[in-house]
Amino acid sequence: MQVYKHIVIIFILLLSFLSLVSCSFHQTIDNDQLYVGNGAEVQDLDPATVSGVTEHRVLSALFEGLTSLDPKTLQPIPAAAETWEVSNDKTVYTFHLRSNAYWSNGDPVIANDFIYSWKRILSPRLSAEYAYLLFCIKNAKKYYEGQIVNFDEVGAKSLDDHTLQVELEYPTPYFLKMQVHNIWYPIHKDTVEKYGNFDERNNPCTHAGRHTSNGPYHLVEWIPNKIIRVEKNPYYWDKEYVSIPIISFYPIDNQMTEERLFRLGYLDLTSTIPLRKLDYYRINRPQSLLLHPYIGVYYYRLNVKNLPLDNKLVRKALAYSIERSQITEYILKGGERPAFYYVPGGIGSYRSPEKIKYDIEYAKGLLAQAGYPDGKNFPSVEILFNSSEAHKIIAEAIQRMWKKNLNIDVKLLNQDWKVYLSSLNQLDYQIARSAWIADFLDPINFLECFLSYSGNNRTGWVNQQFDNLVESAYKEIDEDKRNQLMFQAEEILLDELPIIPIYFYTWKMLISTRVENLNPNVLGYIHWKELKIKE
Amino acid sequence: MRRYIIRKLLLFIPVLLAIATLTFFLIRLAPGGPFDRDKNVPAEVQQSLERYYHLDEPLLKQYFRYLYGVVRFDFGPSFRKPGYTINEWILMRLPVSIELGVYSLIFALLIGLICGTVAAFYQNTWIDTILTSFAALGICIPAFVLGPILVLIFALHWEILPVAGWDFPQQKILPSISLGFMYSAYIARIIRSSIIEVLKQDYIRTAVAKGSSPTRILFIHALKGSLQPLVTFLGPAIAGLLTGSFIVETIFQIPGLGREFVEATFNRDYTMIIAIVLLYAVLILIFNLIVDIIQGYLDPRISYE
Repeated sequence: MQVYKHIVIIFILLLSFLSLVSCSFHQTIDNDQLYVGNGAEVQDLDPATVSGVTEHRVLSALFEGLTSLDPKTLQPIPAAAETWEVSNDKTVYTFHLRSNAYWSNGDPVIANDFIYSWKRILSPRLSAEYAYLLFCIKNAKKYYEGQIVNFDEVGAKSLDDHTLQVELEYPTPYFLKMQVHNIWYPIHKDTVEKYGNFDERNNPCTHAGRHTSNGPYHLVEWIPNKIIRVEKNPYYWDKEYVSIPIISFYPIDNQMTEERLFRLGYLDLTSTIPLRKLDYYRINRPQSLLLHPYIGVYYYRLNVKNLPLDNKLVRKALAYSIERSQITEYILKGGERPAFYYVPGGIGSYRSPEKIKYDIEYAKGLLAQAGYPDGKNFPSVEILFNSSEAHKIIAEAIQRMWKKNLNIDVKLLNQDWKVYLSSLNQLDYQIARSAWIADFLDPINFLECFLSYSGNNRTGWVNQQFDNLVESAYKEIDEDKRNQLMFQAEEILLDELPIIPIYFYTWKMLISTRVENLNPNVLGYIHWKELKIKE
Repeated sequence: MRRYIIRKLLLFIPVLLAIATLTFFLIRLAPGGPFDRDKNVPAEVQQSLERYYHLDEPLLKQYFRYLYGVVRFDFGPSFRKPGYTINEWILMRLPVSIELGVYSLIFALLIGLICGTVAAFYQNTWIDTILTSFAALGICIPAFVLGPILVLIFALHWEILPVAGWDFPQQKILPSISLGFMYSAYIARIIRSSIIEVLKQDYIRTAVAKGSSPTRILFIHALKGSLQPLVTFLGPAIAGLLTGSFIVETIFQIPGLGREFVEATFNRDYTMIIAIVLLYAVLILIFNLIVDIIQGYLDPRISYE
């Protein structure tokens, strides 16, 4: 009996310890603080070297570009620049910076801060992955490639401390809208050079306590894989307008953990929502579920160098025999729209040609015409996707549709992300799952992927007429004419079908009822300074 | 003894060199590089990235450059996280993994020792059956099943423990249990069979005859005599607890090294991968050495010559 007694005592002690300490993710929920789940850990907080959505979410609270976007209309609004003028040929932009704009250490924001940042990004040694977005500036590409050594020849000039003139290579209608991308943000010269060389990638100037930013918030804490905490920037020109004093970003890469934290009220915004939780929220907490169209397209890439996909008729038959609404309604269930064209809607005045249909008889006819009546003798074809539950279910659905509608057998192959990317780059695949999320709000960003010389093409598809149309669209000033050129280019793409569009993404997120004024938009862009917490 | 330790330590050098070499070449064989992205990086940018990280040099030159760095404990910059060096990164993350490992070990020992001893004492009774099945269950349930179940019960249903995080003591309970549970089951089994063996020994009979209480016999006399197989198990187990916490760290949002390791592998962050592999190798070697030494103290028959 004595053994029993001892053991009971130990268990009672353990249990009392457990019950004593019941508490929360963060100790208390603060009315002055916004808690944000931010997906993966950020690579860095240097606007020049990072490239992901998670980084952009944090950086857009810390920095401010020349212009910003109205979250409702997505039209450019003044930010670091108060006003601007554009020359008649749309190639020279003159920005007048605010005289009351300051860095988080109190230094004024001047035109040279922007030029310095761009010069840094265009220095090949820094190897900024998004440097090419700056190539629309006159001579920027030449400078990057070393054909020009003197940066003064690049089209960015400081006329005085608060006047910045940018000369472009060609009229770029989306130039102002692009300024919300972190690659265009200014950087504080003294901070960069205090902790490293100006073109050093591994510059520790981004750590908390050193980081200097010009946006509505400044960095106060960054513990990798744990938290990034930003506080209202006391020197920000529009500080009276910033409502939430503190934002905490938590890098939570496990979607289920993120959802659990949200369910218990420890997060106000999440980075996404797990597929299997959609129904729960739709039924029980619809007010917390945010589903909004997003400018991203999910598509299948076809290797046109490969038999039988080198045959346009085969590609067309495959594209016309997918019942996309089945996928969006029964698999994804998050309000995604079936894609019968390539460029997602909601980008300015551009409208895509709706070329693709779901028409089994037509598809069967095309396949027969290609020499495979009723799928006879159709060579073996494989769908490649990167390992993920959702990609697998979609691939299986399409596999069944093609079997049922065209009587052809398709195999499935999944690979680890980097192996999959390497297969894509080497054209070592037949059909591959792919996607494109826009870098900036313009149809050209989708179309330019399939220029014959674009690194994003990865299908082996080359079409001179398509190239010519996209290149003319680059230079066209008139909006209607430009839309027309892009429309024609997309028509060619949808006729040739080196890709099969499947669905358009939605922006999926959980949002606490205490958060107000989010204004969802197709860019998934959150204007932090406008958010409010309900009392 | 001293000579034995020195000899063992000297043996570490070729072992670590072999591990570093193997890891270096194996990860280079894996398709895809650190800078392959969904959105293709233009060729000129890709080239300058490779130049910056010396990836454009011949592989052998890169290898020797790397070894030279390792000898000076300089593991270089992370390819994916440019703001920190690998050393800073590991120093930030390792303590968390160690802390989690220590708590899990304490949990595993506490539960394992109690359950094993009690099961042995009540051998072949219903108590034994329950505890042995519990141990079998523990070995079968992986952390990625146990963790979410514990969260469901304690955090979401009863709301007495937090879902995730690593700031307050109460956040550390569920992860430690999830990670330590399997080990506690192993320990219980080892201790049970070992104590059953010891209980048959003459000196236990003597203790009973002298009138010692059952608790004293069990926890003082029998347990001490049955610790040796446990020590043998604990060496690799501690290394396993320190290095195998990836899943638990992901489920509970713990900023440890295990998560970083898997992330680095997916991202092909070459420098980070080799650094963590080497660190884990050193930990495993050291714990095995410690086990060897302790065994010598516990059992004088073991010779170090």
